[in-house]
Amino acid sequence: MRSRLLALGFVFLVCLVLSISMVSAQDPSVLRILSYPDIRTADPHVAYETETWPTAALFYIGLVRWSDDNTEIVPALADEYSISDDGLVYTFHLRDGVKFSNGRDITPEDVKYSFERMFRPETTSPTAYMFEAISGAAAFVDGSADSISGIQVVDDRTVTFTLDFPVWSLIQRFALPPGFIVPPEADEVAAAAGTTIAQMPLGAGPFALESWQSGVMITGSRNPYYYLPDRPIFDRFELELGLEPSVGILRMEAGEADIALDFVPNSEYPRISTDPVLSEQLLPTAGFPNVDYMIFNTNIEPFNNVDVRHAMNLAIDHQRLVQILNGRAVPSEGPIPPSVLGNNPDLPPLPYDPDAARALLASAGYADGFTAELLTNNDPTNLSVAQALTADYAAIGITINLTSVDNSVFLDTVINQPDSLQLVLTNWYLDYPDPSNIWEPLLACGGSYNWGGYCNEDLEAQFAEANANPPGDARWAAFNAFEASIAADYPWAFLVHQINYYFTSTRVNIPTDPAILLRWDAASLK
Amino acid sequence: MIAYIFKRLLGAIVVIWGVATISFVLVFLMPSDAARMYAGPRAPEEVVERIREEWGLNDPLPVQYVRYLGRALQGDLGNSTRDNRPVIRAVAERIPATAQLALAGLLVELAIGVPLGLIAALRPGTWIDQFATIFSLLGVSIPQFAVGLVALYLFGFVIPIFPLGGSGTIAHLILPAFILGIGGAAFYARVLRSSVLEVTNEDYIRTAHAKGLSSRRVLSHHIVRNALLPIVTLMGLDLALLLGGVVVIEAVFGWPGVGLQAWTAIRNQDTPMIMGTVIFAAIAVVLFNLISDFLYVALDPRVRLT
Repeated sequence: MRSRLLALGFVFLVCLVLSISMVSAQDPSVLRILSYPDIRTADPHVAYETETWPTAALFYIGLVRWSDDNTEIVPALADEYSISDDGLVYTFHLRDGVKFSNGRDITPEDVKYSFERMFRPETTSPTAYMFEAISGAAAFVDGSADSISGIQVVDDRTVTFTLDFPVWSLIQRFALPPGFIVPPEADEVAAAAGTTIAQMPLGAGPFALESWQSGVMITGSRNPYYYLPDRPIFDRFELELGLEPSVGILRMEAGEADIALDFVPNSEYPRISTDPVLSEQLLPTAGFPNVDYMIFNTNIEPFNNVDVRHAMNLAIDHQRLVQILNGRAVPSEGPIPPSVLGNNPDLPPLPYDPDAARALLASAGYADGFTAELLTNNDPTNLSVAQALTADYAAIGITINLTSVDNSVFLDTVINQPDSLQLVLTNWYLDYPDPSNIWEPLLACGGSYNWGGYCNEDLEAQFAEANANPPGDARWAAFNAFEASIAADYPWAFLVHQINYYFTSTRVNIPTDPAILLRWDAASLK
Repeated sequence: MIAYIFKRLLGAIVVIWGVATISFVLVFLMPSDAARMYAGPRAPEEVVERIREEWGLNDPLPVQYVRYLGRALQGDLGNSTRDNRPVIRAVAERIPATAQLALAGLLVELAIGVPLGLIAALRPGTWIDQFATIFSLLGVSIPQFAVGLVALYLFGFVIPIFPLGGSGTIAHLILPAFILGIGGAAFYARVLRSSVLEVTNEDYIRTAHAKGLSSRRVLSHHIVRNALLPIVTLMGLDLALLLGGVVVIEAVFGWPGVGLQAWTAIRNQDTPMIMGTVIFAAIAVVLFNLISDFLYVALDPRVRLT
């Protein structure tokens, strides 16, 4: 009996030593990253999620990037770039000796190949539209041209992009994953290994792939050919996949992981933000500025009446919405998020005034209120916000019939049956921090995501005028005025701007980036 | 014998076909759009439509069904709508992890459940019997995700002796296997307890005692051997269920098995992957059912094949 006990005790001790030695392993040369969902792809032309963009940025980089203080676009694989005065020609000069992680020199032909790869129908890129202003892109997509005429290799270091019309935010888009350079051999190398580029990335980013175990772990080692010779400081990274979010947070609290690619979950935020130690580990994201809003179908009664839209803005208790988001948001007065240049900081807060809202409804001819259909997806936070709005509107006599559906059904409805909509609760994360990324898709006449059919010719003209300014003070001033004009027409019920945070371990410093969210090459130990 | 095996195999194929058909219809009824899920919320409608066309999602249900079955017979369960990888390969990659956890879980179940059940049966009414009853009740009734999260917090964070989720070493396996095992152990203890009590009252046990055999010999050669028979059947079913994917435990502990894969697939509405994991689970259940039936026949000479 005693010997059995001894044996049991021995096994337990071995397990203990094994586990403790493993738990306490904190190799300073390894950056330990977590992702709660599995990573479906690192292909920068296909990636479009908060976890896939920074994953692509581990392996790839583009011609340009955001500066360290996130205020301007600076060269990356290119050593200089210029934009013609009319905004139609972008010229990039490649750095001498710059290479992919396989050691091959990057040429202007690679740049051209990469952009054409993105536009190929078989790539099914959801982000190619960001570059559709490039001349000849449409002809290439429909198969009537073999190459994109607007992308020209000038000499062995220079490539130019010619546009059909000026797009001043285009230089920001070159810093995004769709602008990352994918070499022609990447697809072949992956195919030869029996996989695809989605899980066998090959680029010129800070790391090169070591292994990709779907759903388990992605590992990489420092790219010796990276264009910044002293970066990254980490020799390797380990990206662990498929963790339960609350367990992931514990991992970082315990110092077993450095950062998660996912934002801090709504449920964990109050505990972390109120803890004096843990709140120091919150890292506000510089990318994906957000606006939460409710769309009015402005082509039907009563929402074609600006007084009704105004009243429905006055009826909203914004503080309650902030509370529902656990304090992770600020009330919005207009569509442009506060962190985006062009946001008008002088817009007055929208008052919560149900009496004024009722009076305004009465003067618009709706003293007895009305009934309206509100559509949203089944995201729990969205649903809570929708329920709060339903209660706010009930207080001024508007009965809301709330329908919440799965997100893909929601998208199918809003995209393919916009005429059936009355009110839609949704949100938008900007791909690049320029006001045009709000107006063009969401509010311009015929905009791809303008599901409420809003169309205001005066504002169209004002936007065109503001958008004609190159980035600089004049542009931001014009957009300040433009936001005030939008706010006065109440095209939406303005709700909140959500603020998202990463959570990091105490040992690392990882700067955030407006384009790729996390800047791996500048990550350092504290 | 051969006719019996043939009959059972035929039945197994029918069951798997039935499961495939029902899950296909259910998945088809699910209000979601696989092409939109793959392309992402901001993909232009043309891109989504191109994917729908490429994947044949615009075809009528019977056409899709026949195509699915035709391909499935050739070992092709389609590609994941999330990462476009072949489902069969993706599921196969996860089987070793699930098998590892399933076997470890089963080991814990037996290691705790069998002695507990035996002691409870041999000392009915004593404190240990009452403890076993309470343990069984708790083990069966407390949801595993709750126990899992609390255990992770206690033994991974407060007293950090085990890793906080993930996989890779034996240390990673201990906690999920233990949590998995507790629920099953409780069940085994209950079954074994009643089985032992039943066998103890059989005539042949009285005869054995009357022959003058020692209590220990009666216990080990007559009571335990006979009482363990239902456990064999139970083990077969249990292993099949464990192999089919321990969805909750794998999700809580981030254990990269078929269960976590099924959970991820459901969250992403990755229809081919959902079908793949369901069919895999069905095959596991049917297969282990067959094995445990054959094993039962081998172990119990009273059971004859017909």
